[in-house]
Amino acid sequence: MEKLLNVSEVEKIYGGRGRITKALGGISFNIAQGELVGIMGPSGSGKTTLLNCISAIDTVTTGHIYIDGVDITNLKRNQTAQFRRERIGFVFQEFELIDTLTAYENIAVALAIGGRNYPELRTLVMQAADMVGIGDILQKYPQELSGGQKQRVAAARALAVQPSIVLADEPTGALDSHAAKMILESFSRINRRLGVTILMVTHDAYAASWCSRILFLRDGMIFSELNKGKNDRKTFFEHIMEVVSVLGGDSVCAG
Amino acid sequence: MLCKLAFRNVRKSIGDYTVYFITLMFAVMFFYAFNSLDAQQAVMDLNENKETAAQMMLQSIEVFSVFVAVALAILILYANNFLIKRRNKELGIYLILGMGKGRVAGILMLETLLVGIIALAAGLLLGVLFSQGMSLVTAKMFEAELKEYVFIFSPRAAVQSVIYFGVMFLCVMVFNAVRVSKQKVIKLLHSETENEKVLSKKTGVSVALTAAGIVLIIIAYYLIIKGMLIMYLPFVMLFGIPGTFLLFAGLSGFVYKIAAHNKTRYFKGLNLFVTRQLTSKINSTHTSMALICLMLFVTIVTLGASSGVSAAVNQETNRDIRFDAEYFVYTADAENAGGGVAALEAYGIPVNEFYQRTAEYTQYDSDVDIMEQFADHLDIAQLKEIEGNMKGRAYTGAVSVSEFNTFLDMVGDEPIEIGANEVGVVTYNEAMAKALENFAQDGNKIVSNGREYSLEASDIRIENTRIMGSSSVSPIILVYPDGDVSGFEIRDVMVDGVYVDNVPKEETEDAVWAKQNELRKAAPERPFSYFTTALTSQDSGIGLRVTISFVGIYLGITFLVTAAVILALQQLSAANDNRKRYATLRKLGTEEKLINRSLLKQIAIYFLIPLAVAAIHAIFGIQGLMSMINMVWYENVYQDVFLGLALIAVIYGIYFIMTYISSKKIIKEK
Repeated sequence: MEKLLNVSEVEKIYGGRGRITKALGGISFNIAQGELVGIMGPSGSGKTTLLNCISAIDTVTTGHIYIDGVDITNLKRNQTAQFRRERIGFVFQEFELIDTLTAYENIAVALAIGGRNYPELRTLVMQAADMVGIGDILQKYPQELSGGQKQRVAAARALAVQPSIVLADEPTGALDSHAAKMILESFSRINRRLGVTILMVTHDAYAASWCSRILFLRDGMIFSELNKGKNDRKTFFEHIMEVVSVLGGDSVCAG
Repeated sequence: MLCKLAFRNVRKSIGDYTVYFITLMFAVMFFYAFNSLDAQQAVMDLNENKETAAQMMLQSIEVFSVFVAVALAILILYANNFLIKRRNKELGIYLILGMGKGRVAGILMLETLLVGIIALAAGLLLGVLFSQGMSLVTAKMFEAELKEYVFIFSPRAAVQSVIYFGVMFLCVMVFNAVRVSKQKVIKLLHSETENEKVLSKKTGVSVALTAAGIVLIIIAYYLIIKGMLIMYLPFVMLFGIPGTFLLFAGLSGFVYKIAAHNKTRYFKGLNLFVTRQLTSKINSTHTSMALICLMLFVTIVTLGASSGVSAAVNQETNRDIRFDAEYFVYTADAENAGGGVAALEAYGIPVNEFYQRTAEYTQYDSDVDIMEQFADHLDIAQLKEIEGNMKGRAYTGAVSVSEFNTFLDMVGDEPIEIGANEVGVVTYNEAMAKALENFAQDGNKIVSNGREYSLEASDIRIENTRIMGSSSVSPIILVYPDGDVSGFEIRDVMVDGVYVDNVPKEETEDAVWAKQNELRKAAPERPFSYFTTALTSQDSGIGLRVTISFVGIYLGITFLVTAAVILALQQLSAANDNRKRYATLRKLGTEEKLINRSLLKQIAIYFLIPLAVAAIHAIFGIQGLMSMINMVWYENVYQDVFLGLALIAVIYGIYFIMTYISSKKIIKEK
């Protein structure tokens, strides 16, 4: 399969003289087009740093990250902003919806800052809303929506820009189990039907069990990797729990 | 330890303190500068009349200073409130770390004191510098020479500023201490997550509210245009003020409706974000926006009109008066001595020594009721003025043609020539002359003495017949054929004179006053009730003008700073709430340039809306005010009004730029 994301020997070092923290220690992996990949690891394992580097919010110390063949570690400042809004869709733990905008406008603003014209924008918003099934709440404000609805609006916003990859940072972290299941089902469906590549950071083993492959991170390195293969979700979940128990850290209780 | 912490805190949050600090500084600076006017006028070479005028001005400034101080105190409390809100979390952390509430309050009080002392010192310094420049303006307005250049410092004003502002800081300190000691820690820590309600009214309701507001405002404007401001001022306010509040109450929906009308533009860049931000802000602050708008309106009218009125006073003072002195001689004395001049000479005034020419004439009250005979040709403003000045006696003045021609001759004008059953007219303003000309051309007759008199347009003269304010003269004086005035009641016997020209007028002036004062001591029973000279009148006119100007500018600046500070703080606290929204936009890949531009747009529109509404209000307000002034003085004063607007632009602009820079800093914070 084609390599959509290629992370190659990425190191991220914080701090200056004397006090150095290695957040990522030369990490490498690939994600193919159409995969739904999970990244798991305890706090401080470098999950968020890795996601920030992939989304070009943070810069790497050494190494390269290629998305669709573009080396994002070499982009100039305004190129990164453009890259981020055209190639990457984001879903955040705290939804990050703008409370003064309606659901429709929250989706539309991501397209508007990318300079899409109105007819195109309208079509894309409606398509994205349809994918996650929120066509009926588009005129509501975030305050009027439940957590699950908000996260689906956020997902629609991420999908509307037709990104190369959707990056989800703990998308179920702020949701109850029912809402979490709904949003994971949406992700899974989008991934299967439309072939959208999704990279999801989580420390919830249940959320991870919806993925097709999981990378386990510890101390800035890939500790282990699990493929769902032909297993059903329940078996996969048990496999994940096994790894997590070895991996230690807070993921154990999060299951 | 407390001191060190307070010091560090102020240095750290210097950005937050900017608006607070600048406002304090401005307040102290203007307060000192206006209260130091006593020291400023002390170094000027003022004559006795101007001295009295200056005292009048100083007293007015003193009275208004109390009002200004109260307004500034409220403003400072408001600004302080904003500062504390922004630091709630920090204060909560102190409390959680186990610092007692007393000590936290102590830190806050020390900080307030520190900022207060620095602002007071800086403000006083600026005030002293500002008053140096201001003294030049004051001297120019008084038309006085500076004795010599001296550094002006008014210890009285400095002490007064320190006391007034000291009390204000004390209030703020106590307020802060009470606030901290009443707060719950959990509230302080989580105050950032509390969100304002952003849901807005239904657009339809909004539009209806705005439309109703506009209708009310238009009614108010209509009343003004129709010249009814004077009579219906309460009605104008009754429509205008609620109209303004309604306009702002519905403005959010109205703005949204307009902005979202063109979808292509609405969904371009951050336009939709800017619109929603603005409408939610307007929606939650519409009452204070309306208040700010009215405050700005008062500022513009005060600044504009005070320079307008002072220019009108100036015009009044510099009326074309072509003689130097006037006496209102008692009728009995004039009859006994066989004429006004003779009466003055009999009293001991060497008339020929002082005056190269004199003229005397008797002015009567005629039997012509202005309201009855001319009403159709006068506008409301003129009628209102006549009603006001004449206190119900709306009869024209009357003089006999031969007597009055001696006056015309003295001032170098052509004599009036009339036949039997003809009258001439003397008036002091052009609008009245125009109205009478129309009256004459329409072929109207004047009914008087049981006869009809005709009026020729060529016999209408515009003359300033009195030195004493023109408003004390009948607006219309009819010039009758000799003998036709005998049946009228005598009002004044006037003696007017032109000073000799072989010595400077000022010398004659002093000599006349000296001589008359001397005579008065010897014989208090004078043959005249009132005496004044053109030079004296000019000096007192100057005093009135300076007072109006200074009081107007003083109040105007206070209102203006108040309005600007409230707007600035509202925007800054909005920026505080907006941090999260901008962070989201950044994460979605919005360029910094676009974000800054959207911020600039929001602040600019938010600042401009109340100003624009206030400016439109002011156009009509000043129009109405001017029409009142014009009745008396007929002067076009719009130039000065624009000068007032320029001052507004500068101060408003400073606050606008400061708000933008601070907001930009705030939304960059993590």
